[in-house]
Amino acid sequence: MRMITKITVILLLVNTMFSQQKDSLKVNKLQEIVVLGKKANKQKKHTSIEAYMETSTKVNMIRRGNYAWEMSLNSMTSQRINTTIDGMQIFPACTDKMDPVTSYVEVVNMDELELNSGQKATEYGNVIGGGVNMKLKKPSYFGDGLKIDNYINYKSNSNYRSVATNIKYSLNDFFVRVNGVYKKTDNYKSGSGEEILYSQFQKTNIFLQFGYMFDENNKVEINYISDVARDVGYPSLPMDVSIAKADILSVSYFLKGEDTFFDSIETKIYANKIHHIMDDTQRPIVDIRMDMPGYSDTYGFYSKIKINRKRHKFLINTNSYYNKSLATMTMYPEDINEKDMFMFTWPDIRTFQAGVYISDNWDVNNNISLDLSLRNSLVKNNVNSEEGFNSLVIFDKNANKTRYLYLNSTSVGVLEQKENHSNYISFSYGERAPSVSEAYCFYLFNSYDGYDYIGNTNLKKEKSVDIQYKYSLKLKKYNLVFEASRFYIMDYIVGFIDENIDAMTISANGVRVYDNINFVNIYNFSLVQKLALNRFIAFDLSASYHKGIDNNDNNLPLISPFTYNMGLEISYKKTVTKIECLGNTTQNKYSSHFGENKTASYSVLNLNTSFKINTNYQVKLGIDNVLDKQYSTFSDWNNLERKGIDLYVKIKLIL
Amino acid sequence: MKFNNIYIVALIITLFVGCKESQVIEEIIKSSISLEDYTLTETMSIEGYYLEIYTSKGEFQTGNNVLYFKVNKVGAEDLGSVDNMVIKPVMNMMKMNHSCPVYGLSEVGGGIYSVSIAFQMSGNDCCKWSLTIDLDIDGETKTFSKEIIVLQAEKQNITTFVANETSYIMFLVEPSAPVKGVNDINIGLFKMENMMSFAVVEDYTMTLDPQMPSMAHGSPNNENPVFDIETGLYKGVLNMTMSGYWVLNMTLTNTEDNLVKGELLTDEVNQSSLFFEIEF
Repeated sequence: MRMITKITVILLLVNTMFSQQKDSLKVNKLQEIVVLGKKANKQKKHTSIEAYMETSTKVNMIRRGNYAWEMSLNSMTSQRINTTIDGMQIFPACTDKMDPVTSYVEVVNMDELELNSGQKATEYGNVIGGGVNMKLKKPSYFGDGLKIDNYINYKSNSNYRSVATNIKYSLNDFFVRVNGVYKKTDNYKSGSGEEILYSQFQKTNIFLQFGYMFDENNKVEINYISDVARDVGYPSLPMDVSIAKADILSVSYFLKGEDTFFDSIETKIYANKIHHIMDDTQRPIVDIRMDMPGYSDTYGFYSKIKINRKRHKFLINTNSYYNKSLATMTMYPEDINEKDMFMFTWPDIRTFQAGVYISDNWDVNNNISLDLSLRNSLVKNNVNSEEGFNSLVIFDKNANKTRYLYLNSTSVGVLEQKENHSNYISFSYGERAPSVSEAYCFYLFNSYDGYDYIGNTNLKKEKSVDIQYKYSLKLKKYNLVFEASRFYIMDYIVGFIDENIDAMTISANGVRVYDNINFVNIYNFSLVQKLALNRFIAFDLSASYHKGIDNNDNNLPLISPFTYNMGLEISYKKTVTKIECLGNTTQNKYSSHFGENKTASYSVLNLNTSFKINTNYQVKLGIDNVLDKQYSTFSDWNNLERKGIDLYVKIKLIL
Repeated sequence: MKFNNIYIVALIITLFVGCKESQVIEEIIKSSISLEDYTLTETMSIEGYYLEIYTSKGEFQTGNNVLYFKVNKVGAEDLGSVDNMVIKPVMNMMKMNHSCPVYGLSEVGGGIYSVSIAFQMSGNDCCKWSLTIDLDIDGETKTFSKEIIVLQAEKQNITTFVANETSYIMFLVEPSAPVKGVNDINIGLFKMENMMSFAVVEDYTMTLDPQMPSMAHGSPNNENPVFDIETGLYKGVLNMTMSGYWVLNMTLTNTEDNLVKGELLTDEVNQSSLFFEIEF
């Protein structure tokens, strides 16, 4: 609390200092937009969605290798956050979190990432921590004809190479887009010069888009993404992935209202299929050879109605999805005469969810606006595999085969808008259903704490009360955003050690069964400042601090220590050079109970320069980790070492 | 789920439409054992009568065998009353003959009888099993007898041992079709009274510790088999977390609390000398 007070005082001082200056301020509330495409005039900085996400102070990426990083938003991971692609629900197929949804899309498919905190993210599903909606590029009916962009990237450290081609063809009423990306990398080297084995990957992504405009008010859009990653190494895990494949299809219809009760209606139906195959054939020594395939199929729709009435902006989103999650494990005994050992790790779980989200943005007067949102949904879970269910009964005679949960979310926010600054505060209550793994998993090995996990079909809903605060200041040369949030989560779901159960995995420490604990508290603070001294020189500084403790004052795992990022950008003519220093302080608040250890502080230096030779030809050169520092952060799974010095070149060529 | 519902609906319709008396329901349940579900394993005949034996595997194996049989009269539908049935398997060894545990003889409906026989050894070139069934048809004693082939089961499902000058036979009855997850386990325990007679041993204590040797793990929440007076078997719960090869480590303690056979697993002892095997 003392810290909040201090920060508030500082903010007030800053506020009075600059309050004479006038500038317009964009109303942004809590939503954070990470721009990938359209508005970004500068050449794309990063080559993966994950790297873009990490630029937000609310996000940390958990790394199990060089591929498919898992997002932590407001210090909460996958089961507590909602990841959607343009409103489509899509669920990973890997039981070991090796395929977060963000790994199945590419930067070139996206316009922007919409990050929402807490209950602000419940438009498409009930959630606790927040959500990211990755917005696909939109068709543009400019009648431009054919346009082709090409990108070539090379990074020295891991011999990373990628090529991408974006082809657009547009008439006044018709649009086609074909994007193709191919990436391949060898093992990378850490700061000590050591080769990190099993950190290679390769992937191909194809994005097809068709758009047709019947008239100004009626449009249809079809999007298809095919993403195939092969030979993906996970140096922090005991297994790799031979193939991770996603097919993502959606059809949308956009209707604009004229003289109707609504302003617009957007309806989408979608289907996606993920197929994920783990592989240990590249590892010379394993306890036992095994196959672990996982499948996740989702079908759904949403229909979004926007109604603007005087000072109100209403949004009603009705949506529903059906998901099938199935994963199995086959183990091959050393004695070839013995039969293979087989079990369901996700026993064909069918989840059905239907819900309605209603929000209103109400401009009470010129300074004050209120936003209110509500979501109610019904979730049904069913264990479809008799065999799989019979296995869950081993642990709980009263296991639920079918279960219905009713989920609520309510949120109220107030924005006070002054000439050059704004204050926003929101209060919310929300609930979530247990995830497939939390409710139904069967002996899933977690290499972080070394325990086998067992699901619990009788888990209570997790409930959260959150308070979020945002202060924004926007002056001519100086911007500042401070955010603070507190999540008080009741019936928090976590694995409890059960000493009566033998571990299944040969080298595991024991077994943990999911259960609810009374409550936890999660605090997040972040500060972002930008100062443009003149046309040539700009500074930026961002910092964040997070804390997570349970009801017994134990630290929660994977919570970031104090993090900072300082940058100096020098623009001269057509050249932009940026020097960046980022780091963590020592992670003293770690959770040894969940396999964490103290992570030392670090700081690294990055340097990059981009040249715009002409509008059609751009080159960017850079060096990451200039000093070749050997380091790993709190979010590196099993202390995986990060990349050492890395030289890169990126070329963009528009034909 | 859907199929279950259809069955239940069909059953209810059958019950309400087809029949009105509860007796009929009993018959439906009784005749639920249909010989068509089993394989004809052996046929014996004598003086215008023949007897067909059905088993699920179509062969006799060491361990527990459930036999279904029916006596028929050649050229006649009605057999008449059958009484005083005695079933006697005999192992014909050169020096001495012996029998094995036979239990649970009962009529299961429709003139079909069921009996369980636990063969403790397989037949071979020198020593073969024979099966004799004595019964009275309309007051006249008939004896069916035939040499049968008993094959060695792949996994250990029966064991014999001597303790305190008593010969015991212990065998696995259920699960006969093991599944992943929760299984009922039934174990038969007999002692040899003489070469031809075996008696159920009641009220001993058993422990059960299933293990997967190739993964070096067991399974949780098993229930030790306890004696069930109704069936004469020891009944418990066996949990198997996955398919594959399992060893069921057991111990047996008598009513005076003395260990008869087997060892509890420790860091040094990784398999009991009293065990059964299951692979599925």
